[in-house]
Amino acid sequence: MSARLIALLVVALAPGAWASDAFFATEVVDAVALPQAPSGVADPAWARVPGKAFTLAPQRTLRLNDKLANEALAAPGVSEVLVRAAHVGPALVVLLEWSDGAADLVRDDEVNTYADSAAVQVPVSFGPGLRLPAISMGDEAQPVRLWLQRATKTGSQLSALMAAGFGSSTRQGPATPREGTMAWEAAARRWRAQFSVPLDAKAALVPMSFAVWDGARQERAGNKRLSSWRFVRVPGRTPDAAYVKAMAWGFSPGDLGDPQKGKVLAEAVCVSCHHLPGRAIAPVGLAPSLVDIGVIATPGYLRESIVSPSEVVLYGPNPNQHYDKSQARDPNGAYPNNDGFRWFTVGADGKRTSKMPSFAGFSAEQLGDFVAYLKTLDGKGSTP
Amino acid sequence: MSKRQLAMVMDLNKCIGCQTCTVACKTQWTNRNGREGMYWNNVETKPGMGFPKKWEEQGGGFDANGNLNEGVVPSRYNDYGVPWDYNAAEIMKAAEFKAQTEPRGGPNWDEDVGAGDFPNSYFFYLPRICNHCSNPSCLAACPREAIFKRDQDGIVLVDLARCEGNRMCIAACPYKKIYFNPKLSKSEKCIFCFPRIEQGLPPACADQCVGRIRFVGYLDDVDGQVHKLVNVHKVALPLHPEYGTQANVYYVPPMSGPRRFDKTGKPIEGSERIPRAYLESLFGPAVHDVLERMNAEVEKRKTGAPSELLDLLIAYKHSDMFRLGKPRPGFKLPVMK
Repeated sequence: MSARLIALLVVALAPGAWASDAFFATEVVDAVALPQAPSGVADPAWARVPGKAFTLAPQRTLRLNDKLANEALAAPGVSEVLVRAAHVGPALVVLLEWSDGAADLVRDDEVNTYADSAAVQVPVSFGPGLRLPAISMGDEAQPVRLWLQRATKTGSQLSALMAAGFGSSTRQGPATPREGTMAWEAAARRWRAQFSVPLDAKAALVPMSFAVWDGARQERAGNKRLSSWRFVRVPGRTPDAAYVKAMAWGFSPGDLGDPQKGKVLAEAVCVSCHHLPGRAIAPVGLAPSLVDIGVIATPGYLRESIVSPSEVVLYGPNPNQHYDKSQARDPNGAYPNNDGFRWFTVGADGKRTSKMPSFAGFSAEQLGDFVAYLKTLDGKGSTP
Repeated sequence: MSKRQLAMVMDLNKCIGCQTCTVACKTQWTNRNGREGMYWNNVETKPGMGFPKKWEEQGGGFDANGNLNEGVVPSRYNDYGVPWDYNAAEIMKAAEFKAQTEPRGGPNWDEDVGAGDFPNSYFFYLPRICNHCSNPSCLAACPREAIFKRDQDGIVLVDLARCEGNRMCIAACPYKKIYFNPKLSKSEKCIFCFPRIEQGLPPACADQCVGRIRFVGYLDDVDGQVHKLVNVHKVALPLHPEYGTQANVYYVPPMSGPRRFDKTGKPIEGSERIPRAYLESLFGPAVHDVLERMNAEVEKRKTGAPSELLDLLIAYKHSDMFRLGKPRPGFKLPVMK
């Protein structure tokens, strides 16, 4: 099914009356037009730009193998990032602000410390008829651009990357990182980082998501805290009504159903592969963990994943993490990988199909209940 | 995972702990560009904490079902150790001779300490490089799949263009044989001297070994000494097979050496100085069988009967220990200026 068709389907199926107010109130940052780009995080121009706070949840969809980082994941890790945006000529300048216990910097004298970092992610293509990329660094049909800053003694290292799925990020531009703008406010124990994102001349509603890493929690790579897709509205431009409607599904009271009914459904059908808070029956890594999915995924994406799981096929963990001891070893003693832990099958044409079956047979009401429940998974639930 | 597999056999009965291999590796690869604290090859005393300190207790590898284990990334200050200087200027003024910073570790931190009480104390040396495992856990851990295993020889390498310095590989390696380069922000490891291998030359550590303890060759080369020791005589065992990575550095376990002494100072007949349980903890239960076989072979040789196994281990000709194909015609080793 094409991305365009899915977007239309989501709009067509959206039940009940729909109003965009709730969506703009909670999901959209209004950029303020500025005559010139702020010189840095301390520029007084930022005082005129209102911010919006977004929840970040620890990435627990996919478990990595650092023992200390995983121990830190067991402690509550939900936090907030305050986002401000300025529209300056051909760019959106974005200021992120978040609390942290202490400043952890890039070090060249120790080998097991990690720097506090932040990133913004923007789809390569977005707009009417296009679905959002997978939040976990995009997917093959919908790649993303990313800007990453790592805190250093003098400021930060800024890198530009592109990615088309988990683990695929590739640096763009110079091999050595440029100097970024990231500053620690010791008194308030807050980081501020400014990013500049090139802006298309017509884009009116720009999808954007945010991630921060706390070095003290051993956070790096996929061990991070992230938001779901949010949007920046460019001042003086009118977003396409159909696009707004497609993106905003799930934010009006009529869209979603009863989370309690959804919980009963989810615990009946999901737990054989997925982890839900307090319900970890499946082996770790068999499928994405859903314990924080409500913070990370948009309602539209959750709905699409249930109805049409192969629309976005998540790559999953490194396939060598599990090998199959029931199989014969090769002449060099290696066991083959256990493909039971792969999240997809590959057809003769090379096309990936998600192993998750489609639940397109659910009624619109059941889907609404389902998504309503998944949206309550707010990152505060226990880890399995 | 690979078509062929290079392997190294190290005969621990002949290692004298001279660290020539360590220095050969260091001058070849790790004395510059942020690698100064790395020892792709090290020789540690066993029993002992080793390098980095207590690496055997830091997790990694695969569990009994073939699933990747969690692990820990060691600290430079606490586990690898940093070099220290002495107060050379002050001692000229009759100051007490001491280190300027507190020494906390190093590559040969507990060298020659060993275990056991006098006169029954014991130790042996354990040289360690990357095991170029058949199921490498470093490769399995990398979220970016930046680590690969070469098809032609099974050498495990880090693609530094893909490496982002996330160090999941270091947590995953149960042998702690991947190191973080804090200057480049990349992870680096023993490369089995692949540029030398490609010229038909053995790795620097093996070539320089004065004790001739290291054999290098392909596991499937039936005329090679590595194949004979591992697959025919079956006297070479991987270190910590329970880590589940199918390591490709094999060790001929140390025979026990002198007998234990009783309270009166007389040797106890039939006793062994190095406890079997300790050797089993390193090389797995197969170590008993290997040692019985080697002891029997020594007894047989004492009667004057020939022994192919002992001839192999004596290593009459250094060049026979390496079977890597012929060097490229006209190839000369580059000389460092």
